[in-house]
Amino acid sequence: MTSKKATKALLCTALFFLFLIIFFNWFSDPLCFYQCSEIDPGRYSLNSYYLAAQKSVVHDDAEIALVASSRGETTPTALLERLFALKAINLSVAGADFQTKRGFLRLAQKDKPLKKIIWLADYFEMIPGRTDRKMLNSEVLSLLTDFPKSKKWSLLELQSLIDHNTLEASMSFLKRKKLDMDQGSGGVKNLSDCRLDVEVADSEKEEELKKEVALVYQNYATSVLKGRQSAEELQKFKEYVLETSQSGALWTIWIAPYHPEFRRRLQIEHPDIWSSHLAWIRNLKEFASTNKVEILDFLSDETGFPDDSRYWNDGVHFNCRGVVKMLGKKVQ
Amino acid sequence: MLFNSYPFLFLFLPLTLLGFYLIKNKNLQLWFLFFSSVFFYAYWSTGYVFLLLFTVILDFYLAKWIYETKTRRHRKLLVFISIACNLSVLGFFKYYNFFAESVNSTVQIMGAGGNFLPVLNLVLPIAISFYTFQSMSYVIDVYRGTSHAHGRLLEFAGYVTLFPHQISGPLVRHNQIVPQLEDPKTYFFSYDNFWKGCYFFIFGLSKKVLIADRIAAVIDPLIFNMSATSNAEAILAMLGYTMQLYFDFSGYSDMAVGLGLMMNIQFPANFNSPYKSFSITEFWQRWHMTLSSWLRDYLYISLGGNRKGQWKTYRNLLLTMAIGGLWHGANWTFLAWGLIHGGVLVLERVFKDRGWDLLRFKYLKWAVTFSIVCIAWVFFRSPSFHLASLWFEKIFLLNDQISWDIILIPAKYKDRFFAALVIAIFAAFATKNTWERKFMPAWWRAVILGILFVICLSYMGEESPFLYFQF
Repeated sequence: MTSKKATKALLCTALFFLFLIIFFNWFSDPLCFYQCSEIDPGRYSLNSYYLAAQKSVVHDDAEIALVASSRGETTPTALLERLFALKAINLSVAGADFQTKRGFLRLAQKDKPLKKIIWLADYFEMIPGRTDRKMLNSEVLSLLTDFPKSKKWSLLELQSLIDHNTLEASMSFLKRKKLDMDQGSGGVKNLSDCRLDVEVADSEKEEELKKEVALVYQNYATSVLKGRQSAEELQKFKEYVLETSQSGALWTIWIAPYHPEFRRRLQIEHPDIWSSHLAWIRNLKEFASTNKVEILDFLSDETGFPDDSRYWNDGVHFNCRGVVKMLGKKVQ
Repeated sequence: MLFNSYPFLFLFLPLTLLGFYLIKNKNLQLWFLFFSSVFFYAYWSTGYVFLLLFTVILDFYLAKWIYETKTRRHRKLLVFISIACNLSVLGFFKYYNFFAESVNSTVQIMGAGGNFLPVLNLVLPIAISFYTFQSMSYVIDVYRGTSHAHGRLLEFAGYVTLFPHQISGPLVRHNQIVPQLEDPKTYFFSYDNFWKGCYFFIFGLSKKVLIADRIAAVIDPLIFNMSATSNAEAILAMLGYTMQLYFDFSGYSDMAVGLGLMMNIQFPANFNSPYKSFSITEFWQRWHMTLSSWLRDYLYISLGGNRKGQWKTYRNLLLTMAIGGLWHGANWTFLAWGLIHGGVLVLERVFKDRGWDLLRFKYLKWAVTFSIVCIAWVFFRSPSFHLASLWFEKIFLLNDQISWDIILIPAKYKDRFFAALVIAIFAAFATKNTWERKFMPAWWRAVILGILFVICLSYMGEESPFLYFQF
């Protein structure tokens, strides 16, 4: 065979498989990147943002909403309902930043204003560029933010069509599961799992937690918490709080703690990031005090939070016992 | 931009190849290639393009001047100016802060407070070590009389800036590339070379994307969290890094060779299955061959080589490897890495000179060599001696709590990591390397390459920067 024919065969094979993957990903659209022009509660999707939006539409009679990143996923709606005697919905999604959280709240209040909003505030939510690609790629979800999707195809979108993550999602998408439209974020189903009267876990589990803390710390210290918070985003947040408060919603800004070891390392190894955290909390507290917004600060609280695996999954994610320990005591 | 990035593969490369072959005038083609290469560099750093061009122009004209100068004294002065300028620029950007920090900490240890030398906010110009060495070697060759001065600046600038080798080698010589750029045949499309180029490029891309990056995703967090890793994880991190570095670097070298071939430019081989070596001497004949031959020709021989007796030969070996270590980065750990290799090279030389052969079994020799290479990589990868010592403690089971669990490797990456590691070990020890294969044109080979390319495209999303960029 000549080099000429072999080169052509190579190009044809590459193009054939490339387009095969592109078509497969496009038509299955497992992450709702390309074909979701509206929020359809019956559509099966692997995009957790889309799923949260679907839940928001299905449970449009919710009176209290928790908006959070993955750190809020372990908050049981049953706990919120018991604490506030209102129908609750948990709209926690991994990586959710300020724009995303506000988008979900807007969706939840489309027809009826919420009575109470619990905003689990993350330091990184105000750092620009942390918006998840899932948001950018989905037309219907991007409408919820201040970054409407461009009509033109961007390189990022083309890239997602051949990206292995989309391909793996498409494969998994073929095995469709039943849609779970409960009020929670999928983290905790049963409130009895969150009882506080449990023994300290064995040393193996504690050792495992130590490693999880180290692992998450690396990701957060070198990536998630890097970058400056945007004063503009913070201002928009305050304006949004005031706007919704005027419509009758009571606000609680919940500043959750980091695992004590995570916090200790952050203070020593990245004092600039830590002092920036403290400035952000001060700013929120000032705002809260003048605007009748409740603020629950567990992060700058020097007394600390227990550090064992009864309450923590890793360096920043507490489990539902951690939630009960925080909210059960503080929220009145 | 990285070779393993979508902008490079879908925009820069097709446009450059199209432009290169659609223009039908040799001179214009070379200008086009030069501007494409300058654009490629400017994509990283616009400001430092001028530093690159300054080096090119300075060395071209100094070499020309040396060639035309008859007196030895003047020639010596001119080569001195070239070396001083090149090394000053390299030294300032790459080593100044390292020097200042070392001096300051020494002064502080001696009891004086404050900083003796200011630490500057310097950004290392990308590829400065590569292009400085390449450009400087040309002037030295002309000075030594082993090469004529090239007639035209454009061909020389084309050689130094040529984008396939620009950022991370191979460390090619002017007399390998400039004649090819002068040859009119280079400027006509050749299916034979293009096919070979595709083969090298896709195999290189696969080594980088499917093996090195999959391993890197796991071992980088392990190394970052060395205080929390178990002994098993520390050993895996050492073995993983050994494989990652080889597949990353040789993969990138293969891609560079492939890109060169697509434009009818043949680069030399840079790797020849180094982990199959039976001695460290052999390892350096197989690992980063273009650098080791550069160090031999321009450093070891300049120091006197083996011409001035045994002890000076040993000294020269050690010095060459120490400087070679520091070439890789401004850190004491690189020096330690270079000294380990230099020390073992000296030992092997001593044994050879005396006719001793302690390790009689072939596979024992291989095992010892491979172990030394792996251990030395720990210094190469560690940003500090503290981390290296922590890592060694766990590798050699010297820590208090010996533990064999593997928890720090996220479940998401575990299977891929072990699969990539097994493939890497098999490929490094038991198969022919890219250069040894005769990948002749055939239908099934074309299909394999096509599928491999698409798989690589699909896995390129999770990018890890090329390890040798910092050098």
